[in-house]
Amino acid sequence: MKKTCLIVDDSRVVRKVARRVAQDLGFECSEAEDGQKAYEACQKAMPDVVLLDWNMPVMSGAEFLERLRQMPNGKHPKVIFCTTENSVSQLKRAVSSGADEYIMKPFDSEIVELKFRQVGLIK
Amino acid sequence: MDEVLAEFITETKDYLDVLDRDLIALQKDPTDRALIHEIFRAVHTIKSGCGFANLPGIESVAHDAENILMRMRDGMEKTTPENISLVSRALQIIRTTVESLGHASLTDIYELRPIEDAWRVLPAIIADLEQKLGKSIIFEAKPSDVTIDSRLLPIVKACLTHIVRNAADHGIEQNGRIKIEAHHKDGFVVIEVSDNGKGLSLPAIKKKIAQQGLATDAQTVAMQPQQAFSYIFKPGFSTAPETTLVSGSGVGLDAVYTALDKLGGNIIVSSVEGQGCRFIMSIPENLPMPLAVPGLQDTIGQTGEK
Repeated sequence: MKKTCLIVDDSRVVRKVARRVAQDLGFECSEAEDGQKAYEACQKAMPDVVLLDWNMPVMSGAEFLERLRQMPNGKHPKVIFCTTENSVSQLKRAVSSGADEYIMKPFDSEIVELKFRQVGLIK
Repeated sequence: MDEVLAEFITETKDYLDVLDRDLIALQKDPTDRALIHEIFRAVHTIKSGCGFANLPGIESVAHDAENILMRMRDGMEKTTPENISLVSRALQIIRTTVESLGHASLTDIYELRPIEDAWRVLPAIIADLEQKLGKSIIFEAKPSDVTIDSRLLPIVKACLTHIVRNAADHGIEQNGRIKIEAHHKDGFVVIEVSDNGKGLSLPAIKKKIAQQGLATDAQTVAMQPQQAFSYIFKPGFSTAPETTLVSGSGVGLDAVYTALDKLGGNIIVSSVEGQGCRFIMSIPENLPMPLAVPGLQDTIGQTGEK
């Protein structure tokens, strides 16, 4: 069975690129445009990996991540936090909230593949 | 046309429509913190989209807007009408560029157009500037039989609009004149835009070069005017003492420079203080067909790919 990837970003452009890249890596993709929708998606089906934007309306990436990690089976998904900023405090917050890896935007297939490999999603 | 770019165009237009309304609301209530956050987030989203759509020119404009918003959000800068206008100016530049991207993608077939198409809209823009700035500006366009590849028109228009805005805002004092003409030379279409305003200040530019650490003091002193003036095309370089509603904030000339450079063209400026400025843009007459100039999509959209 294909592994699943949940793409959480308020930008359609980013979701489109991420979907393309993750599909090429063999993942089944779904999308959410804010933390709240992502949370609801995880209640229905827990993905194997979440590509997570930080700055979103309704529910931020940080809040979503903290809630996700408290859900039953919420430790299962690898969470890759996607950021445009080189901000140490943001990275710290992401890691302390339970992110496994981070990636700088804009990303391309090579870097996503590398991160997926680093967190053990692909061999 | 590339799918990501197409999505970027529609998404950005959607955001810009919302942002226009939000900025008007912010003018009315500058204390609305939540609104500033929302505006910041939308501009930030546009900026990150630029990275994926490979549009460094608009990305830097979005980045400037984002910086002002961040400073307002964090209380480092007041939410003044001037600051809101700066953001609004940046968004207008983004809108113009994004609209020309959308337009370019529709014109897969190119044709030769009169160069005058590139400045047909300038009289209206200048009339608007005259009113906003309370100045009187005469626009003179020399009749021309020069033609240009229609695929280049959006970028040439954007460059001309930018130069004219700068001239009206910073060059011309109370009354002035902007002249434009074009000719063919050595395989290039050359467009000259001149004004009879106060011109560039060589000492001010040299001071700024030294201040920004772009050259040593000794190098700066020895620099020829032409060489010193070329720094106005560097990102973030502006000697205007204050930014204004119309231009300023260092947004733009660098984007013009980058766009022309990617087409294999260039732009130079010459000036005598007190006698005005002359910008000379050169654009290659012949482009490959289909258009496959590396990086052209940065400015006018991908036309070679569907």
